[in-house]
Amino acid sequence: MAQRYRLDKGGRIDRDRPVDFTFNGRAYQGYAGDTLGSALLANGVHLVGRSFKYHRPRGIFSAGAEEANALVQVGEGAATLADLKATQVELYEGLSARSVNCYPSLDFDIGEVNSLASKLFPAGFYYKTFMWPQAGWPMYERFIRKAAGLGEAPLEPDPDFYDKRYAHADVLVAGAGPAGLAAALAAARSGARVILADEQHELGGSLLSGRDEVDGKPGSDWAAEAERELRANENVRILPRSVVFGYYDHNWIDILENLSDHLANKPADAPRQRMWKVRANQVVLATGAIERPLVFRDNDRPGIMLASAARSYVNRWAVRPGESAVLFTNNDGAYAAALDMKAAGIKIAAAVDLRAEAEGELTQAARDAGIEVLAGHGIAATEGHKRVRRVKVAPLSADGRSLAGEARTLNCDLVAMSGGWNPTVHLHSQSRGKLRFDAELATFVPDRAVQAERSAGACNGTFGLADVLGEGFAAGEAAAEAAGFSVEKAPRPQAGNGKFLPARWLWLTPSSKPVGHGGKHFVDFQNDVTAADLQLALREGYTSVEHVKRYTTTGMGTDQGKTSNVNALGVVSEFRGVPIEELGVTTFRPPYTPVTFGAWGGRDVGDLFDPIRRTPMHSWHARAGAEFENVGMWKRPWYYPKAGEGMHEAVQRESKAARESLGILDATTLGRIDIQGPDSAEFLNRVYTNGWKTLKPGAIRYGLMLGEDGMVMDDGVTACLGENHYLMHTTSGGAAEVLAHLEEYLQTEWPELQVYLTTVTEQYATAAIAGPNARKLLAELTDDIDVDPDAFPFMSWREGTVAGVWARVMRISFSGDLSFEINVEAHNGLHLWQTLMNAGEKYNITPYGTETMHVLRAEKGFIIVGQETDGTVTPVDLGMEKLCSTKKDFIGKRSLSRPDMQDPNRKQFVGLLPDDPNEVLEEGAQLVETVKSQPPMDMVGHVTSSYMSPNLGRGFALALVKGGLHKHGQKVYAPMPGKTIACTVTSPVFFDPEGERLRA
Amino acid sequence: MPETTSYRQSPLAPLGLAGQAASGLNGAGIGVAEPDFRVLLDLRVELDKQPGAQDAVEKVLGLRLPETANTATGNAERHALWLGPNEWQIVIHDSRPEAGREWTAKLREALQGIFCAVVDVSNAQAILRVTGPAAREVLERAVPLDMHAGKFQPGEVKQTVFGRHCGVTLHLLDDAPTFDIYCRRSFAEYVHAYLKDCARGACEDFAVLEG
Repeated sequence: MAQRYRLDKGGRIDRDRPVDFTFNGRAYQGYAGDTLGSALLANGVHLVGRSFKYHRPRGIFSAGAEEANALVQVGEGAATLADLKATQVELYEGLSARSVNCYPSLDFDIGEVNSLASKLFPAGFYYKTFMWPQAGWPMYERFIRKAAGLGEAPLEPDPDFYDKRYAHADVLVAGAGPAGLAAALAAARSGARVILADEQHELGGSLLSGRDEVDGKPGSDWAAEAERELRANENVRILPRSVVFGYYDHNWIDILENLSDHLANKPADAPRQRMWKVRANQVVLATGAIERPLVFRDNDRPGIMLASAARSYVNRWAVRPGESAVLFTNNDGAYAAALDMKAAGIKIAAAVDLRAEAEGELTQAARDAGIEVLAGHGIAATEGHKRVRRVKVAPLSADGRSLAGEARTLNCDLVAMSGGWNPTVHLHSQSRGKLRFDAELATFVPDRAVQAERSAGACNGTFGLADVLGEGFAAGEAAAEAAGFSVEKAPRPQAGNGKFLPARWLWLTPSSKPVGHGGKHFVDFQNDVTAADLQLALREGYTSVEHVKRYTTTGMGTDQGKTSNVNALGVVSEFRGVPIEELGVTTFRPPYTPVTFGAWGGRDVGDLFDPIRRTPMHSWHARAGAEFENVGMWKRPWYYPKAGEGMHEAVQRESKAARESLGILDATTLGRIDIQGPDSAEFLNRVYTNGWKTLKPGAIRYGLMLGEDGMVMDDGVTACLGENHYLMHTTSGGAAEVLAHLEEYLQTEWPELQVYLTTVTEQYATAAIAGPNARKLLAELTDDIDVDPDAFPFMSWREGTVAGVWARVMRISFSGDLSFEINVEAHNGLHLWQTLMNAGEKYNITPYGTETMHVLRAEKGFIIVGQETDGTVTPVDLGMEKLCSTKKDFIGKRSLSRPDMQDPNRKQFVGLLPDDPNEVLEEGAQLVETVKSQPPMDMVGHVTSSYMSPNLGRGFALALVKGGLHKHGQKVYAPMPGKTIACTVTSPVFFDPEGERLRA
Repeated sequence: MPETTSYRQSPLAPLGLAGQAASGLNGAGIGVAEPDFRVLLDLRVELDKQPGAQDAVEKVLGLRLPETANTATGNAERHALWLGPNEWQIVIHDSRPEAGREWTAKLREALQGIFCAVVDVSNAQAILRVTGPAAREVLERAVPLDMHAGKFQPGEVKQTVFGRHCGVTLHLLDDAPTFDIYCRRSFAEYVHAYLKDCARGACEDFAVLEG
């Protein structure tokens, strides 16, 4: 019968809206307002999963985020989500879910043999078993992953998109239960901007599951009124289905909002989830509390659940989670569940109470309602494979450590357990707030706050509803005041104030045999950690709680020990005879509950993963079929293949054309820094190794920049534009770093210098034309620049009109050939390029990319910072000692005088010619002088650049070799797989060593 | 040979926005346009150490540099945006090709003898004009600033990071609200694409407006 366990009336479900869904392939029906968990229980489905390690049958054990057993895979294909908690999944039409940790099926799981062989899988099993041999790891890992699988990640790209946004609030309230609603009301009434977030779709928290009254009406009505007032306030933003999962420095809060996972028809044009990055002036934490399970023998059978969960299923979802229930408690508060279950028609077989004297308001009410209370008793054992069938109940000794009488058997299909409550202190702890052990509550409660936050209600260890509401209002008022708003104190609502105390704190319920010798006393359900495992860890010397956690894995996994951490501490405390407060507590880290990778990535994926910078000429390059290379964030043309050409052919053709006639390179991406002020030349003198005071307007000089360590950090040419005015060029990738370096010196070391630096990288577009015909082409396109070699010598610049637009032409050369770099304003970049291409046609003008640029400069022995240098190379190593002025100081100069820097055996810059001219060395290849039959060999250097040169007709390379400056003519060898390449060390200048061409 | 304006290509020109331009928001929450070419100058000067600077600037531009952080001065034709204690961006509505160099020269001449720097950055930056009732809502997805109407008001100028690694200057012009977003030229296409995706995340239609 459909929904056999649904109560006839009540619950916060819409009986007019039945919802069809499937679980493990079987069709079921629930109602709108159900979770997958409540709908399964309404259909009598308790067995929903298999445990992680022993594959024991497991049931729904909670009604919220703390669920450790009911992990499900929801949806199919690319949009499937793994490891959702059935207790949190909102039901929607057509939902399809399956269990995650069973093979071949939930009912018959082959992994259950692990349970029979559990002696072979003790705590620390992986550490002990899979240690050796190391090479076996890939195989072990495959086995472990398959056996331990928790859900499956889709292989397809994510079809959804995710929104990410920032928000600011005067007061952020996490949690919309009674305390959170009260805090939000108080803060909002003061005029503060409030964000109220709750993980559930309905506001109200515990008021939705209990039967408490507020101001004489049902608590859920009070919550609805509060919500109406908040919604009417334009300063309030209410975020349902939104988990506050991370709390970072400076009140920086992460919230994950679920937008469409609960919808049957998911809109294609709306995001699936939204990540909120909130900066809050003040934070109120009202995150409630989570009930603790009890640790007793075989406490994990389906049908054994938290008492508060059983109560929620009855009251909130109108579901009978069983026909005949046993309440197992150590406190008075849990009797509310027994009373509500009884009222819903569930038989209460007995209330088993660990307290010797079972007293309290609710305990008495249960007795009055005819419920048998077995005081001083515990559950010594449970039976039933896929559902609990019976429990054995026995009286306990006075100290609670052993049984003190004959066991009695109670038939039942539901055990509602309560071991007390743990305030949800996760966010407080994430914010670096301290925790304090509260002996009365036997749990950790917030102590001192470190950030601007305050906890209110159950998460603060406050449990009476009147107190919770009062604390919520007070926290909201205090937060608003701290944020600068004036507050009028509101009267506090009237409500009952029953707490769950008195209680007896007994961490481990004894059974007939010692732990580990019969049955399993589970502490951590998700990770299958038992009290015996904790005992083993202690026996093996892991006494610190952090070690116990890592050794046994208690508190790990997707639930992060929400129900196990304090029980584990309690059990360790009993075994060690050390009070809990002396054991300490493991750290709470974000996220509170799992967050999808999609939400983390937000919109910074695909084309928006990182900014893509393009030059003004980019569209031309793309049309010409260029292959692009990433240089920093820039897309630079790498080479321009013609039909049928690969990279090699294209680069050979481009390299030849640039030497024989005319090549053209887009050099726009070079970094440019405008330098102005009366001390500009002095500034340049200090930041470059060479001297600048003699540079006249119209002239250009190459400069080498070092870090304080004396290592080369950048190089480039600087033009003197006028009196006290310079234009510095940096490498494309180093522009931002160099500007920051210069600004730092200017602002912190030399504030007395009158110099201003302004980036003008993007003000100009640059086309470099290189080759014997470069001058002819330039002459055709300008009538106001005299291109005659005497009027326009090498290393000078001229301003004028080129291709009809303003231009600054620099006669510099990175190719080693006659070359002009034509700078125009960036808006005119494309026009310049097109004009040069058209006019250059008769010279077979050939566009070349960064690869050919590298070949051409390497033929000339010009370094590239970051390729020939790696942060350990000095100007001396590069043979550029002459560029280091002896007449002035400069950054890095003193480092160069260190003895190690003078070592003649440092790696130095050389050229290499492989004996076989067809050989092209691998960049990065290690070099040796003596070849041995196998490594290790004494390495003397490595290849930094290597190419096939059509201009040299052979392969060649640049390298750093120990003492290389004095080894020209000697042999070195590159031992490669299958062969050894013999090379001769040479000067790094292979082409036009006298520089006749570039000065032509 | 006189300079012609027809050669010039704006930073967003490769996107061909003019062809897509709608005649207005047409119900969209946010519209983006690329304004006509403007003169943009970066001006560095220590006002307290160079007492003549304000008057010199005023003589050329007809405005005084704002000394209050994150504000702008000026009128419909010219603005001075505060970028730092000794740095301003001058915006002049003059679209002639030579205008950037001309204004640079004029300002340099007026500031002769004063330690300062005037740098033409007219081509170095892109301007995206963002307007519409959802502009704040959309921009909140791109920048970590508080975009609430009470916290970012017309006449204010703020510099921040946009998306990932992109520095921008935001100038709020009016209550529409209309923002001018200034970014480095090569980041313009990224900023445009990012804005469009932010509008999608906010479930807002995105219109392209005439520049």
